[in-house]
Parts: sequence; C-alpha cells; structure tokens
Amino acid sequence: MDKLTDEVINAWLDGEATRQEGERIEAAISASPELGMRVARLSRANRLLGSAFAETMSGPIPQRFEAILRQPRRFAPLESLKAALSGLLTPAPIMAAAASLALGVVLGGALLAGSTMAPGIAPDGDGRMIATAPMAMQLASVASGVSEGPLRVRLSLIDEGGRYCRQFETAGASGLACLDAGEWVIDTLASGASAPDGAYVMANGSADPALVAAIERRGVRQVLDSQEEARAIANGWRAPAN
Amino acid sequence: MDEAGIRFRAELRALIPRLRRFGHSLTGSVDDGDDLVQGALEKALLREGQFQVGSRLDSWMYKIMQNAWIDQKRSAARQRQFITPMSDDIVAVGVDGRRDFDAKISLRQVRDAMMQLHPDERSVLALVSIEGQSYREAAETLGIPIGTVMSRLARARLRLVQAMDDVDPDSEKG
Repeated sequence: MDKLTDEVINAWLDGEATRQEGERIEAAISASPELGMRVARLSRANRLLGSAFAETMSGPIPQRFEAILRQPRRFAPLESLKAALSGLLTPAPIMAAAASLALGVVLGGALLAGSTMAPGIAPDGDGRMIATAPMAMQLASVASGVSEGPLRVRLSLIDEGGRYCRQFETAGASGLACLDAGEWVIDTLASGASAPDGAYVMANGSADPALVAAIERRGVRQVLDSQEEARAIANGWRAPAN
Repeated sequence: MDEAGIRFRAELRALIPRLRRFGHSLTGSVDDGDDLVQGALEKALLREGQFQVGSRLDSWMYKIMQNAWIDQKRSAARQRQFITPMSDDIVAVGVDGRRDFDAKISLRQVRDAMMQLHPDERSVLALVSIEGQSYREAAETLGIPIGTVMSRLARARLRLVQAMDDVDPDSEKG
C-alpha cells in the first residue's frame, strides 16, 4: 500500500479525499494509534485556527465600510459601455473629407496599410503612433459629441491604469487615443467605410470590434460625464487622482 | 442606482465579516486586515462592471485582498526571515498517546503561530481552513495549481502543529 502522505490526510480532513482514499485512511487510523494522533493534531490545529480568527465575525459592520458602500455609483458597467459605444456609432454622415485634409488629419486606409504616415500622426522612437499638433490639440480641447472640425470625440474615459483615453472619429477611421506622459498615443485605429458621397459611415454601423476590444483590454475605471470631461479639458488633463 | 448596483452592494456588505476575518488571518491584525478590506471594497466598486454575474463574489474579493496584501509586502520589502522548511521527520515529533489534546493553548498563541508561516502558506491555510474554500476555489483565488494548494497546505498545517506544540506546556516531551 502507498504511504499515506500528508496531502492525502489533509484532503480527507478537508472533505476533498475520494471515498476510496477515505476508507483507506480510516482503516489505517484504526490500525495505528500513532497515525490517529497525527490526524488528531492536524484536526485540532485546524479547529483552533477557526476560533482564533473569529473576532470579526460578530458585531456591527464598521462605519468606514458602510460609508464606502453608500457612495453613489461612478463607474459604468462594461456592458452598458459597449451598448453606449454601439449606439454612438450608428451610421451617420459626419464630416467631409476636405475638412480633415485642411487640418492635416488623414487616418484610415493609407495609415492602416502602414505605407504612409498621416500628417496628424507620427511614430515615436518606441514605434508608437503619436498624435501631432493639430490633432493632439483637438484631442485635448474638443468636448465629446461636439461636431466642429474634422475630429469628433465620442467618449472620454479613465482606463484601469489611470490614463485618460478619448475615443475619436475622423474621416474614414475611428480610434482610441490615450494620454501617456503628455502625448496622445494612438492605441487603436479602425478603418471605416466611405460612402459614395464622401460621408463617413462605420462599416456595419456598429462599434468597431477593434475599438471595443481596445477598451476592454485597457479596462475602464471611469467614463467621464460632461462635467468631469470639461474639468479635465480645463486643467489640461492632469493625471486623475487614484 | 439600478437594481444590479443595489444587489452588488448588498452582497458585498454581507461578505464583510468574512473579508475582515480573512484580512485578520493574513495580516495578524484586525486593523491591518480592515485596511485590506477597505481597499478591496473600493476596488470592487471601481471594477463593478468587470464582475461576472454568476461567479463567486467572495472568491473575487479574496483575490483582490490577497493581491493587495502581496503587493504591500513586496513594496515594504521587509527582509523578514520566515522559519526554514522542516525535515519530514517532524511528523513524528511529539507524538505521545498520553497527550491531552485539549491542552491549554491560548488563541493568541494560535494567531502567533499563523504569523510564523510563510505568506504563501498562510494564504492557503486561511482560505481553506478558515474561509472554508475548496481546494479548487483556493487554487483559483491564488492562481496556482491544485497540487500546489495541497502541498502548501500540508506544509502549513505541519508547521502550525509544530509551532503550537512549541508553546503548549502540555506538549513537553520527556
């Protein structure tokens, strides 16, 4: 017969042993007072452990915890965020390509193919895509939902790492830019389809999966409401308090 | 607040005594444990949208607390020495058929013995022996294989028994 290991004896004490193991242990205990003592000592240690840390199991819940639970909800559940995103990106003519050219923000096909870098975006030494002025200025200053200029911001959020991110659209593309050490880094760029009249529509009219995936990957600590966003714009997107 | 938000808070509230006990058993202090609970509650509310409805809220909370505790210990970078592994023959030490297993040992001494354990072993013991998690649940909470739960648990209990023997006047071996 195999040696009864401590693992097996513990599993039996914890109700995790198979019936076969249990029978083996019970038989072994009957045959060996020494084993019986060993099991009894383990069992006693376990029992005392439960009593030793029972102090917090009774009595009122401390006020500091009640206060936390009373705080209003500030953070949008991811599911509702996804719904909000798909709602925001329903097909709609948004902006003329000419306007974006005027600002030098051309995203989309050429950039995604990697053949030409758009004037509004430049690579940095680490291979990241960085928004250059004036796109960076637009990202820093435009309120969500305001339709002026070629860049339209849909949503501002703080990710799990505490960085501000803005979901934007421009002619032919939508993307997510996140502020990192003073630079708006393009996290994700998804191409949209151009309608025959030049107006922009999202392919299939819903949130691009790449965008949703990017937001899921970063995690959402907080979606900014319009007041919070206005404050962030006013104070130059200083790092949010943790 | 919507119904899901209210329910989430009610479930968190109901868990608080157990979370405090877990914090106490990890840190050895009710106050330090409560600091872990507070951080975990705040984090849980921040991540409310990430909680998968239908999964175990207690496991999720234990995991948040455990991770925060390990982070704290790392950042404190205290070079505290934990007792070194014992040889296998320790199981035979002190075995004496005449011993009285209801010997007087104070619960404070049990807590002290718990604090002598390596943090990894203490976590497993707290989850399984105190919080009543199954091996599978503890493995998921700690992100380790079940086999590792079993071996850590065996080592932890062995050390606990020995530490308790050391302070138990009735366990003097003649």
